[in-house]
Amino acid sequence: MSVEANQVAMPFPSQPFDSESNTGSGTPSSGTLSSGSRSPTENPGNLWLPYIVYRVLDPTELPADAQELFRDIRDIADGVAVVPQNVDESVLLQEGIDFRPFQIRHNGFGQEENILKLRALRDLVRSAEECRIEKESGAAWNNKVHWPLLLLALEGRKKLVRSWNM
Amino acid sequence: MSQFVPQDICASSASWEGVPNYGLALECDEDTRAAIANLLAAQPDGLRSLNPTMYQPLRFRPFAVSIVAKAPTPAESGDGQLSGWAQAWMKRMVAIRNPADLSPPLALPLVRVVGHDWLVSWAWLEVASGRNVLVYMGEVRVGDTRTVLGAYKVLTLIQRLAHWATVNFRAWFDDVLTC
Repeated sequence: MSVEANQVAMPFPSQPFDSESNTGSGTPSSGTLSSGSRSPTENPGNLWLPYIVYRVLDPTELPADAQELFRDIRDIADGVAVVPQNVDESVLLQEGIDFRPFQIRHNGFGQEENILKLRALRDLVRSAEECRIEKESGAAWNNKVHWPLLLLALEGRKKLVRSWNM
Repeated sequence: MSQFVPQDICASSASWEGVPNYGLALECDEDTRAAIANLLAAQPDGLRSLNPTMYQPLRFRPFAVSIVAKAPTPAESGDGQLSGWAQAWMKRMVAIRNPADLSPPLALPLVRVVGHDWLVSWAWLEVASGRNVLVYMGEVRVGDTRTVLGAYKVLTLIQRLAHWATVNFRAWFDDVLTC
């Protein structure tokens, strides 16, 4: 784990986002967001920043709106439903995947598309290993591995959500 | 040429290490774009952006998932960059929404990529000891690009996050627009 539990890292002055704090600390500073209309005259320099508290992972502490996504991501990490259903087991074995039924995923794509994606992933894995061996820069990793992987994952979803490279 | 360099709204923050390398942002229909433009019209000059950056493509697109990628060197972790971005993003959301809305913004998944490894953390606002804080909780190691199976996990992760963005995040953001 790369963060320390309950370490307050940034001593920014805190201002309210909820009613409890609105009533709790005496006279609000000039940076407090006022109730009422969304005023164009508020000084942007006065907008508050919250403190940052780093915590180690404890799923029970995640907000309710994050629980479902957390469970699904944990399943993905365990390999549940990550391998397309119509790629031959022999092909997967060639790629070093010791196939297990719980890994099957019905992704709606045909066999040919899934094979193409498998080949693309294999190429990305090779590129990534090349980046590691050659001790390439972050920019090289981004160009050769991370960005192509994002584009591959989001194929067919561009009307709803897009990835941005900044 | 400086006017063409992406401007980061929170550039003066001590925690600010810049925008993430990548992100997933929602594509919006015309009605939503008009509502966003209306919302931002009330913001001061230099802050007319949904996100804590004046990078033009992201001014009017709700930014749902942030991804910071680093080469596998000890000098770079990406934690500070992600938490600083989340901190600034929460600030933007609170600044642009209806002030009568006192609920904390949605908890955000944040992705850190270090060489081969893809890791997911979460950030959200809460009150602790009477103080508003951004909680940054990490992290789940989800997949990697060492093997094809690891890459399948990463692919599935990105698609799951895209689904979350288009369903959960969009529903929350629609509430921000209509409140």
